[in-house]
Amino acid sequence: MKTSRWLWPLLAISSLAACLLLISGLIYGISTILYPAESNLQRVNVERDDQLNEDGVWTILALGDSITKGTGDATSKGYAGQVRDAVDAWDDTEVRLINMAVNGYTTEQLHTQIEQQNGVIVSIQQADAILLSIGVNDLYTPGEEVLPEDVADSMTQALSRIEDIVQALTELNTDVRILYTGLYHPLREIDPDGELAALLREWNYQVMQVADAYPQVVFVPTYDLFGDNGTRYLSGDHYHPNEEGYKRIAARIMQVLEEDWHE
Amino acid sequence: MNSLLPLVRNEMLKLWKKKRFFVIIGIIAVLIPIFTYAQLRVSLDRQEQIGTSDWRVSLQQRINDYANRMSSPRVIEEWRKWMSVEVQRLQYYLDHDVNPEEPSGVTFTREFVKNAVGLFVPLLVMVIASDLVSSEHAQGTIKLLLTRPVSRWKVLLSKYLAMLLYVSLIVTALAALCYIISGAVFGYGGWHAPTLIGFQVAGADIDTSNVNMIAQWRFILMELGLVFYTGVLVGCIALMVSVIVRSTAAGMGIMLATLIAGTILSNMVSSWESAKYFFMVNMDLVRYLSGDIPPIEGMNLSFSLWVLTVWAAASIIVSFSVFTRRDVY
Amino acid sequence: MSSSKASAVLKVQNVKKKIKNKWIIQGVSFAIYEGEVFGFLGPNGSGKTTTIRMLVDLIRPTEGTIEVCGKQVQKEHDAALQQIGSIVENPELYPYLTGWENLEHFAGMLPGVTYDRIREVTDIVGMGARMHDKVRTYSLGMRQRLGIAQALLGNPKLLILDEPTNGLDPQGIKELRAFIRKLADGGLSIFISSHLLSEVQMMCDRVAIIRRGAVIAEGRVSELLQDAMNRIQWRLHPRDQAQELLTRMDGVELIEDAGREDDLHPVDDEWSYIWTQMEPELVPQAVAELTKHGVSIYGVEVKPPSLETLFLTLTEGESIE
Repeated sequence: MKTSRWLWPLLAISSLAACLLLISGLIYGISTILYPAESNLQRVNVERDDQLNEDGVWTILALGDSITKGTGDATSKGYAGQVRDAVDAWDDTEVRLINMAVNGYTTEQLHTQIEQQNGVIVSIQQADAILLSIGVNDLYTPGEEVLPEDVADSMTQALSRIEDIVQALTELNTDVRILYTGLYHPLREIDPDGELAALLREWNYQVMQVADAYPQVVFVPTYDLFGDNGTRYLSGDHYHPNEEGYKRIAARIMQVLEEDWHE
Repeated sequence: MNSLLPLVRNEMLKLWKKKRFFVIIGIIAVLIPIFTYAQLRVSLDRQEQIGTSDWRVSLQQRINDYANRMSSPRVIEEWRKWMSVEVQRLQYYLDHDVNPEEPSGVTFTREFVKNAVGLFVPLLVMVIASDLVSSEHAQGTIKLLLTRPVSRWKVLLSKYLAMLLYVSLIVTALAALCYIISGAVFGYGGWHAPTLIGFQVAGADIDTSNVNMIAQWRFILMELGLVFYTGVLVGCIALMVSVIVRSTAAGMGIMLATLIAGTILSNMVSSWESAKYFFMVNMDLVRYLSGDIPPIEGMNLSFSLWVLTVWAAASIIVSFSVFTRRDVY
Repeated sequence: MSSSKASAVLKVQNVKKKIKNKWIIQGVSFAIYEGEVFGFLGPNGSGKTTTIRMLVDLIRPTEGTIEVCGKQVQKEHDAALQQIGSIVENPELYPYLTGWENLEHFAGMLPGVTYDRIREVTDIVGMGARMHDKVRTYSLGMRQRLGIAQALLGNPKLLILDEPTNGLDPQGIKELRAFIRKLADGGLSIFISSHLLSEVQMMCDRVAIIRRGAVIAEGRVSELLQDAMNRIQWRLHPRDQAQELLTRMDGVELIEDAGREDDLHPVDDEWSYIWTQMEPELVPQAVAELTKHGVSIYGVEVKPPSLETLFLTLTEGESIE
């Protein structure tokens, strides 16, 4: 008797209010979903912001294809992860690795990514070093026959995109160090005539030339790392490096970074 | 009709005195801190892993993560589709510089309520509704209730109305507690954070031609309205079970089994098309607001609303005809 | 009560109930008049509870009509039930509410019941201070009082009490009897069911006895006993011959097994008692007949059975099965 005198009005009013609120929400929701308005949203491009790099953390950005992604490494660190660990061992350095690489990426896809993905654009501006591997998916698909005539054509296009990519990267971040990981030859046993080998050497040579035009860009050769006995450093798919293989790539990259560091 | 008001009052007060609502508040109050902490761990972990607190970078990384997983030939087609939609949706957020998960009490509430619609809210509703009639049988009070000069349909209708009002209280209390508790960790702001609605899923692609930006509080209002509808449906079904099955334990068991089976079904029925006529598969109405992929292709809001409404209407018809005609022993 | 026959508060006419092709109630008719206490007797399983549930519209009769103050229970539920206060089986109330809250709850379902009326009925049953305790803490006696209070709330014309003496001690039964008498004197009609005649015979003005779903006797307790007054106890020899002779006489009926009433008379084939149902006026004629055929008569006595035995006889002893 004592409680129900105030309990009932309280309960009635609050539940009725809640009920009306929810019903209005329901009607609002249904009408919004069933009769949606035409979108009036515009794409927002990230503005260039030089402050982004001033956060005191040494930022490594990894871009490109499965090699940078670290596919084949049982620890899934890849060479980018190895590099991060090595840099972390330096004194007084806080380091972060942002890995935006995607399996199977071609130069075209990477270019679009750099131009359009706001998250990538932001991280490029944050970066102190960019680790890059791209191009191999433009040239051939593992397991398919390589036709030199076709490859020559796609190589020309890919090379011009490499240039666009480097151009875009340096525009977004003038001070950044870009390390391009060259191509290696994983398929020697099915390439007795050396057709593919010639192609890969040509590619590496051409990219090296692009790199030379930009002071920030360093070409990191890997062709020799997976020499005649290369399968030791390849993973089960006989295509991607294994943990040891990635370590060897990382070691090469560290040589460049350490030199930078000491300057 | 004026005799209905005291009946509703009776039912409301009985439920209150049974302390059922306290049980529900208790369950919510215990669970939300746990989820808040879990959410905090997740975001801290992600931040640590990625090493950045810039949401654009971490979101981009998540998108690329999906892209990488999609590239694997071993991914189930269904998953690939889901990830493809998710990639496009999240990228759209990024492209328009809108953070889909701006950390705040309001965002947490939005996400929690969205995830609660499938099972958590139905379970809470069940706690209240599944013994509304059967407990009267179990206690023997049904005899007192039905020997008043009040028609049986009025007695049952008053129970339905009490259920409706309590479902409103449960949904509101869930959102309020969510906001209060998580706000202590994530902050109490975020009411006006921009939120995108209007994504339309078509196969593995997403149609963004009707995407619009709204304040987050509007999203929550609509979300709660949709959750409320699902809650009322579950209440109707639970009440029907309560009318038919006189044992409270059996009634709860039936409801629990149905709801849990529903969650399992929603996750695996994509290839069984006629499963879309089950009410359990249609309970997650919020997905049509946030633009998530429906469990079965071709489902949309109007379809789900129809299914839920037909089920609710059928359960109401069954319970009224049984309740008003049945002999009480 | 014949003077008030015009105003039947409850009129039950040929009510039948079929459940799963079985006639549970095979035709029950009776009436209750204003200010009357009516006993409804029958062994467990005789259809008492089903009948009561039909009176309060918990169960729909398959055939027949039930009228309360002229309103048919099945057709005018609200108007009819407004005149009835009832406790069906145990006084089951909401254990998580207080006594007062329970009364408030049921008051909400009755038109025009005020807080004053609630206070009034609690005074009538003498609930006192325990009113505001939770019902789960109540003793059976307290629950019974609360149950009656709840039944009286709406100022009914008819009060239905199902086995009200169940679980009460002799003192409680005595109090209940006085209470019921008081209510009846106030003009209320009261329907009491029981499976024990002895417990209600003193409260009831009239009784009906139900067996296997049918009313087998109805009337004042004394009227029902009238028939029993015609029971004659014989002690004679030889027994078999006597039985044969008595059976042949008009207006004489043998009663089998009446001896179970009291075990004072061991069953002895040669020297045992037999009982007959007959007008006492026929006794000399019977004695003459028996003597003529050489039966030795050692004793003849008019010996009415106790009420309980009567009840058992009427209901064929089902209550002890």
